[in-house]
Amino acid sequence: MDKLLRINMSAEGGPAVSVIPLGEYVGLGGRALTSAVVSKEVPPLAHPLGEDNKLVIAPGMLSGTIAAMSGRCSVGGKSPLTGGIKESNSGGQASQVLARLGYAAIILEGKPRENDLYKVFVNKDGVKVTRDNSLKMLGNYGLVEKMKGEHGDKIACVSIGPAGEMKMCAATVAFTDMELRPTRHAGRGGLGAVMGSKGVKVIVLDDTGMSHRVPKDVEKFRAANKAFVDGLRKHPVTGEGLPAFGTNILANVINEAGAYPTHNFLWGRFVGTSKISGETEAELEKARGGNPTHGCHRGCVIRCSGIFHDKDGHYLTKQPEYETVWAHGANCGIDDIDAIAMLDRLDDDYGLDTIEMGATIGVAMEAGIAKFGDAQAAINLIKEVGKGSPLGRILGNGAAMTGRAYGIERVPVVKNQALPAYDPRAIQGIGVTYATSTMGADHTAGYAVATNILKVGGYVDPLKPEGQIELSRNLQIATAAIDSTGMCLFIAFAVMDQPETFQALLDLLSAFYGMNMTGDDVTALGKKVLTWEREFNAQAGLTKAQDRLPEFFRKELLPPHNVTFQVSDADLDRVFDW
Amino acid sequence: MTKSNLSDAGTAGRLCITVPADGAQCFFPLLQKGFVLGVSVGCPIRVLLRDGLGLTDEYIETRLQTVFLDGKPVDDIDGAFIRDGETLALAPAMPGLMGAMLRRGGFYAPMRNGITHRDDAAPRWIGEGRITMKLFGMALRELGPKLLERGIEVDAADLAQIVRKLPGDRREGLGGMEGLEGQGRVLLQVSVAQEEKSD
Repeated sequence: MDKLLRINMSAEGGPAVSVIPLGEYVGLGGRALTSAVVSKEVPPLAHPLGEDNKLVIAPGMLSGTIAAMSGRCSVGGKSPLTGGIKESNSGGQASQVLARLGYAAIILEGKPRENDLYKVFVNKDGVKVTRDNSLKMLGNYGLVEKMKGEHGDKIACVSIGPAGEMKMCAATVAFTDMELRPTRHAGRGGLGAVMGSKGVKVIVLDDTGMSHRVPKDVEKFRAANKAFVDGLRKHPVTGEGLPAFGTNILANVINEAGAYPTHNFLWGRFVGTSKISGETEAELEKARGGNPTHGCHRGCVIRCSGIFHDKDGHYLTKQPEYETVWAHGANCGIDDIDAIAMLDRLDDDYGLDTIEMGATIGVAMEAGIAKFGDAQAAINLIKEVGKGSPLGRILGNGAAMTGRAYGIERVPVVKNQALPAYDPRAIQGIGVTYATSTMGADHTAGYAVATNILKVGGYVDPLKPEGQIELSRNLQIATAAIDSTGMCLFIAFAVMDQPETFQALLDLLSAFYGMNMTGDDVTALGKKVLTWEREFNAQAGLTKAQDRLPEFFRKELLPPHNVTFQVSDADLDRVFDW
Repeated sequence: MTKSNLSDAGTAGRLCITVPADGAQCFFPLLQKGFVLGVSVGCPIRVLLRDGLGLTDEYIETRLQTVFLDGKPVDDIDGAFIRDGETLALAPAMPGLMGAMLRRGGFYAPMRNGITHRDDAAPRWIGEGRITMKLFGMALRELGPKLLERGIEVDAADLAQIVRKLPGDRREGLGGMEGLEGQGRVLLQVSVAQEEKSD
């Protein structure tokens, strides 16, 4: 992983490929690398779909090694949805394959002069960029089947669906899983539209003939990996709850807490939750011959994903995860898990962010375009997006666009990005992160590691009034660092509770790079990433005025607890004071 | 289902069912949505769990990490008292930052300060009462079958909906469900059939 692959789509005579050393980016991976490249190379005022924006695809620092859970791939660029810097990461096979091919990142630059589509093929022998307009408007599933026919089944694909080609703000970048299905997505912020603007439909990766990356200290690395895996397996969340029920195990408890946004954030509880919960989903999958315990990439030991079969026992989609089930379910008043799974399948095929689309349909339902609870109407609306009809174009550009088009006040977005599945009125602390994240409303922005293990910013007394601000700040720092390693954020639960598992993570990094990494180093990395991102955003016009939740969260009481968001603007503005 | 018995149980109908070893799971949605139990009330949650449900202290400490009383996350199960008519939800440690926030006594608990259950004084009245209980995650699998065997009160329409979705061979003997739907609540008892041993 000592080189960058740059592809200039503007070059005379067609796309120009250059493979260059890492230079100033040595030692960076994942989010650290994408945000470094975007902040240093993209003019903050560039149009997100213009030739000056760049799309950066970067494996994590430990991707391509034998380290468990190291298969996250970061995608970065200037977001057409938020107007700021964006990093969105995904599971799937591509991160490991790209890392084993030796690339720290693929950077798509420029913009083709004609309206052509391209396929990029990368293997150990080099890089080939081919114009292929036969791929136009293929769904991700059909596209991957076509690639299998052309290149065999030992590949990994990074692709866009029709939504990316139509440059919609909810468009994703899709990654294939272990079964070579396009089920994993860098979903947030419309980076699929940026890939579409570069004219690249698919990047096909083949690491045949390549082997795992070799650590500096092989024995120490192996021992650290064993300790790390042991820690994940013995923890009740990573070793039991997530493998048995997937992320949707959260549905019941968030609903019980009155923080499960329902009917476009009108209420905090959904009466149909037990019909769409992770527990119910897992039993249904087993009964139909699916599988509730399945990894999204090789080397995953948590296996929180799964396989969802339809009523006839045929594969329909991967196990819809918590955010998806909430967005297309409770938020739209839908308690039909089969309909939600169909919506997930359509989103994956068109290349759409499930959170953004669920929030968008919720806004559309509030506007009267469909009735809350009407599952077939929701499916029809997503199909409108896939077709690119005028209505579909509005919906495909997200909740904020839809709210503006239909004059709706209750639009749950920050920096134009839809809120995920936790109502910040019930859980005030997560509202701080939603409001202030560099990424727009993002539940993963402050998700990761126990602050008092990391000692980020010193010991935090959570009982002090300012505790929520400090916790959010420190969580955002820690998350930025974890996102740079390529590690799945779900390791956080074991790392949070078990200091020896956190130490094993540090040992993995230290043994691989031949250094002595400490919690302070992790903190410094996280702060550096956030500083790059905030400086970019400030120059792009995103200031503290955008670090706010929508007004209705302060004004409308959320049942059943009848609470509003109480954290003051002055406190929000202190989050990044370090 | 191997056999069932539908009879009048006063205010609530009663349905006794014997199921094969893997048959209890089909009733789990009822346990997630909420069921009614007759228990001693006026005591701390820990006492109810230990003395009322027969759970060990070790199980309570290590497995029941997420507890809600009337929808409010509880940090101290010794200081929170359960009263007649309240709703108690039990779950293990849950994933995500949200899971960490909701965990009882967890480091991130202050991030949900606004909805946290506040400890209160011991109630004056201690005696028998009825509470609604909900089970989530591994608690559903670990405690669900035992409570189903003991007998729980559930919404009759919800139960009828579940029975209607059962495969044909498992609906045998449950033809009287139509009568239950008009009753509001049903006392449901589910026991697991002992496998016949062959010599």
